[in-house]
Order: sequence, then structure tokens, then C-alpha cells
Amino acid sequence: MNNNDIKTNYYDDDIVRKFAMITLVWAGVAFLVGLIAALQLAFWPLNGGLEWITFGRLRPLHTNAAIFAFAGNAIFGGMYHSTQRLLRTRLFSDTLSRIHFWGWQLVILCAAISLPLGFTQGKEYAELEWPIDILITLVWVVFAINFFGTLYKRREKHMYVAIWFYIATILTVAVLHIVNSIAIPFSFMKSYTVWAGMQDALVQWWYGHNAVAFFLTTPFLGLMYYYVPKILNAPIYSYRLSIIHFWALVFIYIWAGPHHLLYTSLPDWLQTLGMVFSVMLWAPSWGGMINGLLTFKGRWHLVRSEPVWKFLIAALTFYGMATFEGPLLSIKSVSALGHYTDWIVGHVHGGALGWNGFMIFAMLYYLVPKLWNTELYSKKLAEQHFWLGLVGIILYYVSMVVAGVTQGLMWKAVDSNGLLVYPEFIETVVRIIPLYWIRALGGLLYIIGFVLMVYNIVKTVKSKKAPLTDTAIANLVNENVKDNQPRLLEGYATVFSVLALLAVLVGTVIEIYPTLNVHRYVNPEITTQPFSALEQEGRDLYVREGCYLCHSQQIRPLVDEKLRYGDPSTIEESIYDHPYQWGSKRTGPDLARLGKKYPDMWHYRHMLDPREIQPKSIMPAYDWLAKKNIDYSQIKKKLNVLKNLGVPYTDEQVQNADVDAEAQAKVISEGLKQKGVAEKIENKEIIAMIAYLQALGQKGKK
Amino acid sequence: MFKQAFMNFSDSHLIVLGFILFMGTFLGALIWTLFVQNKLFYKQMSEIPLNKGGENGKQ
Repeated sequence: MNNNDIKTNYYDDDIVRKFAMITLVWAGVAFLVGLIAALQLAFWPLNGGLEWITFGRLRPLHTNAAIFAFAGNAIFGGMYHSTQRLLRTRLFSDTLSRIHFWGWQLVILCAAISLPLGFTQGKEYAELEWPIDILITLVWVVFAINFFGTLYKRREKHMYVAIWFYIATILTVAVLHIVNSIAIPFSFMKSYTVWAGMQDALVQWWYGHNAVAFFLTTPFLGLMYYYVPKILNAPIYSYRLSIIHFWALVFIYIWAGPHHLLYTSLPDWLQTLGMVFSVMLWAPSWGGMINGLLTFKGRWHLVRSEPVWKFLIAALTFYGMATFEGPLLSIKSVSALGHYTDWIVGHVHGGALGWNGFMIFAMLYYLVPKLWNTELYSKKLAEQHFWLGLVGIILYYVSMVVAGVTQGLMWKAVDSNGLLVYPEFIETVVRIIPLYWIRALGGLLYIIGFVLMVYNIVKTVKSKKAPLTDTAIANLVNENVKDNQPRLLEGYATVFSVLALLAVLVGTVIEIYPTLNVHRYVNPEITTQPFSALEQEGRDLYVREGCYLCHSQQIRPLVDEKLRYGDPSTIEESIYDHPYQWGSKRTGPDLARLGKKYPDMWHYRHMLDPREIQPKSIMPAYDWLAKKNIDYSQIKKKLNVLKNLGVPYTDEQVQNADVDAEAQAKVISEGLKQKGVAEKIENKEIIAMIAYLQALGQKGKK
Repeated sequence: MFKQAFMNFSDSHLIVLGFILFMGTFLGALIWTLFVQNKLFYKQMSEIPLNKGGENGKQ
């Protein structure tokens, strides 16, 4: 058999095997890093005093590994496997498939190295710096060419609904990544996003929410529409429903991003729009779940003996739960309680571990025996994996929802005199630490189940009966794509792709376009001063350490927040923030009005040892800030880039940035010396950090 | 009522346009699915994963 025969008559199974195996590797990394991060919240010394594995740097590594490495590789493997079979042709190019595979692993490797080193753009799920962003774009283009090339050479005229979801995924992720990642570099691994403040918040959550939608939902729905019928050997319950499901979902999802910014200084109309469209998402999401579950109709009795079926049913159930809870949390009054708390963490993990994780496990349990031409080594181990995983998710989810609701209610508790019942933030943290241990136990059970799976898969692969070969393409004579018979919309890949892209772009344009002119929303009586050179340097350190992952900088116009933190945040206050640092979680208190609240010495002691200020604090010590020198060599470049992005620095401020920064550092360090600090700290990073923290809430005042 | 509903919205023409486009898409998909295409086509489409190639399909 020559190379041409293989390319014409056989599917490329080798690339699917590669993606399947690497999925397991990165899953292990993502889960383990997640467990360590979870344990650090229950027991703060677990970072071992090492900056590289401190929570603020570890958490982005966990989320990126889980989303882009674990789920990403699984998606690519599943898409390449199912697309070939649904279109009855080998992938467009073996070379592009391999460039895609190795390129994506390079992206992940770069992320795994750069994130612990503190190279981050400071935007959730989009932390990777500009050279890696460019690499992602190139790999995605290779993937797109390979996929659409396969569509072009297909033998099956009409595209099955799974292919639609794949098309929407590839096009939308490209748009999201490019728009959100636009940045101006000032060094090899550092840049400032072109978006600022409220605008950046909107673009970031338009991206962030749709990363969930078009990276963790639409491709998985495509996989569901292929693998559920395939594993059950029965067609999907209602093909009609799948069509309505697709169009309604891709149209509505893109509008929902602003529900992450309810009660913030984002314009009200955007918040309302985000909330309304989020609630509307209930219908298509549940349509998809019901369609999947009803495919089991008449076969429920078989679920008892088939662990893979159990994974599918649980995955669909978690999809239903997560897509019920998401719109619920998007209602403003519910968001007032749940936002910034661990409830959101529970919600996300219900979807990620239950829907994405279980769907991937089901797919791999089905695929590996097929691809290695053998039987699954042990159904019993798969069964045990399922129950361990399920109990793990339930423990995780319940503990986090209870923690979130508890903390949310404690934050809000006001007595009959109109005073906070729990004025000390730490009281609300200590109360939920036992739940952090339960969360970690849930995660551990999930990982033990995963280890059983790895063992099961390795034994299965080792039991292969013959040398590995690719699967022959069935029904080769059918070339109905070239039969000159009339087609329906599903038969025109280009027209279909354009329509899907338009459905996504409508919401994008309507939400983002008006905010491009941010001055429409700004009070003209307020003049916002930009950060000084040293404060900006401190801000970059704040971003490097991932402080935004535990501290928000956005006070909502709610009674308890006004009592605890002060006046609600305004658009003006963050108008020059590249990137915005509003945050999405309050493991510690909001910092929007921290500046001038405490003396410099308080911050110095607190950063070096938080327990010295608050004995029960779970914040790690940042003693390396007092050891590392400020890099004054970059400051001019930084201010110059920011000036070009619209921050009102004068030419003189840019030219004298390093001198000004050193002068301000000297003033702060002299003050600290007078208070008894003996160490030589004038050029240390902690001085820049103190300068920034003292500037918070001092800009954009009336 | 409409005036009240839109008083907190700037660029309300964009919202109305978005709503019309959404309703158009949704109704279009509904009409297309329920009335234009026939049952036989859906049956054929839904069986693509099972009939056309693959390891456990009805070859």
C-alpha cells in the first residue's frame, strides 16, 4: 500500500492517538496544580516560600492547563476523529495536523514556563504574553486551514450538526483571541493591552465568557452530538431540536459576557443586556441537554452495566446544572450575593469537572480501544473511576456553594443600627476554611479516579492485538458532494460558515462598538491623573504576582460595600488602567480605596508577613519583593507605550520617568527607615508596590 | 412602556436592531426546521454518524 492509497482510503488515526495520549498527560498537570492551589487556600505555607508556586502565579497555570491543555487537546483529538468520519475523508493535510499538534504543545510548554515566572497580561484566561499569543494565533490558523480544507475535500455533501458546532468554535475563538489579545509590547515578554478600564473589562469578559462558550461548550456539544449516538448506536433524539439548539446558542451566547460585571461601573444598559441574554440562554442550553439525555430513551436499563454511558449521562446532567445555575447567577439580585464568592468557583468546576471532564473521559474510554484495536482493560476500574469522580465533584461543588453563600451573607449582614455585623473581613474567611479542606478532598477523589483511568488506559494500550493501522474509510464510492443534485444549507460549507460568523458578530458589534468611545460615559468634571512612574512599576508587580485573583478593585453600589469599602467605584477611576484590575474574586478584601488608609510601614510589614498585621490571614508572604531590585531600565519605555495608548503623560514625564521613580522611591524608603526599617530597601520592588497600593483610590476623584 | 424600558439604554437603536436580528434568526431557524425541510432529510442526517463509516457503524 503506497502513501497515496493511505491518504485516499484511510483516516488519519495516528493524530487522534497523539491528542488522546497528551490529553491524559496535561490533565494530570492541570488537576495536580489545581489541588495544590486549593490546598494553599486552606493552608497558606504550602507555597514553601517560593514565588513561582504562590497562588497568584499558580492559579493562572491551573486554569490555562485545564482549559487549553486538558480540554484543548481533547477537543482537537475528538474533532479530528469525528470530522473525518462525518465527512468521510482523511484530514486535509497530515503535515498540518502534526504542526497543529506540536505547535499546541509548544504553546502549553511556554505557558507552563512563563506563568510561574510571572509573565502575565493580568487578564483571566488570557494571561499569556504577546509572543505566545502570536504563536497561538499561528497554530489556530493551521488548525483552521486543516479543518476547512477537510470540509472542502469531503465526500459527504451535508454537514452533520457536530460539524456546525466545530465551525462556530474555530471562527469564534479566532475572533475572541485576536480582539482580546491586542497589545503593544515594551519588551520581549511584556506588553500593555490596548484596552483600558471599563473598555478592557467589557472586552475581557466578552472574551472570558465566550471562552467558556466557544472553547468549553460548543466543541463539547459537537462531540456530544457525535459520540452519544455513536456510543449508544442510536441516532440523536431530535435532529430538528439540534438545529434550533445550534442557531439559538451561537447567537445568544456572545451577548452574555457583561453578566460578569453586574453592579460595576460598566454602563447600566450593558449590564441589563448581559443579564437578559444570559437568562435567555436557559432555553437553548437545556434544549441541547434534553436532546442528549432523551437519546438514552428506551435504553436506561443498560446504563447499569456500561460505565461509559454513566459518564455521558452525568456529563449531560452537569451541563444542565451549570447552564441552569449560570443564568441564575446572572440575575442582578443573585449576583449581588454570589459574585466575588466561592459560589462562582463551585459553578465553574461543576461545568469543568462534570460536563467537560466526564465528556472527555467518556470519549477516551470509547476511543482508545477503537484506536488501538483492542478491548478496554477493565470495565470495573472505569466504574470505580466514575463513582470516585462523581463523589469528588459533589464534595467540591457543595462545599464551594456553601462557602460562597455563607461568605456572601456574612459580607452583607447589617445590624439594626445600620452597621456591619462582620466588619473584619478575616472573620468571613476563617469561617469558610473548613470548606476549603472539603473542596480539596473532593479534588483529591477526582484525581484518584483519574489515576485509575490512566492505569486502565495504559493497560488497554499495552494489550493491543496487532501493529497499529489507520481505519479504512467506509463507503468510498459515495461522492455525493459532487453529484450535482440540489443541496440544502447544510451542504454549503462557505455560506454556512459566513452565517455562523455573522450570528456571532452581531452581539459583538452591538456591545463593544458604543464603548469604543469611552468618553461618552465619563463625567467631564473629573480629571483623572495617571499613575506616577513608580506607581506604574508597582502596578506591574501587582499584575505579575496575580493579586487581582484574590483582591477586587471595584466597589459595587450596594449598602454593605459602601459601609465596608467606601464610595462605589466609577469609570473615571480606572480609565487609564492597562489592563483593568477589577478582579472577579474576593479571597481577600477589595482594594479600590486602599490608598492612604494605612501608613507605608503597615504595607511593608503586611507584605513581608501578613500574620504580623492579621494573625489569621491566609495571604502568602511576599518577602521576595524586599530582595529583588526594581528594574528602572524599562520605565521610560512603559510610560511611552502607555502615552501612545492615550494615557495623558507629558513628554517630560516620559523622559524623566526613571529619575522621578527613583526620587519617589527614595522618599518612601526614607520614611520607612525613620520608622525603624534597617535593611537597605531603596531600590527594592516592595517600595514600588507600596507606592502603587497607596495610589489606589486616589485617582479620578471629583 | 417602551420609553420607560429604554430610558436606561444609550444607543437603543442598536439594541432594537440586535433584537430584530435575533428574532429573525430564531424564527428563521424555527420555520426552516419545522416547515421547510422534510422528515426524511432529518432521518438521513441524524444517521450520518451511524451509517457512514467508522468502527461500529452499519457499513
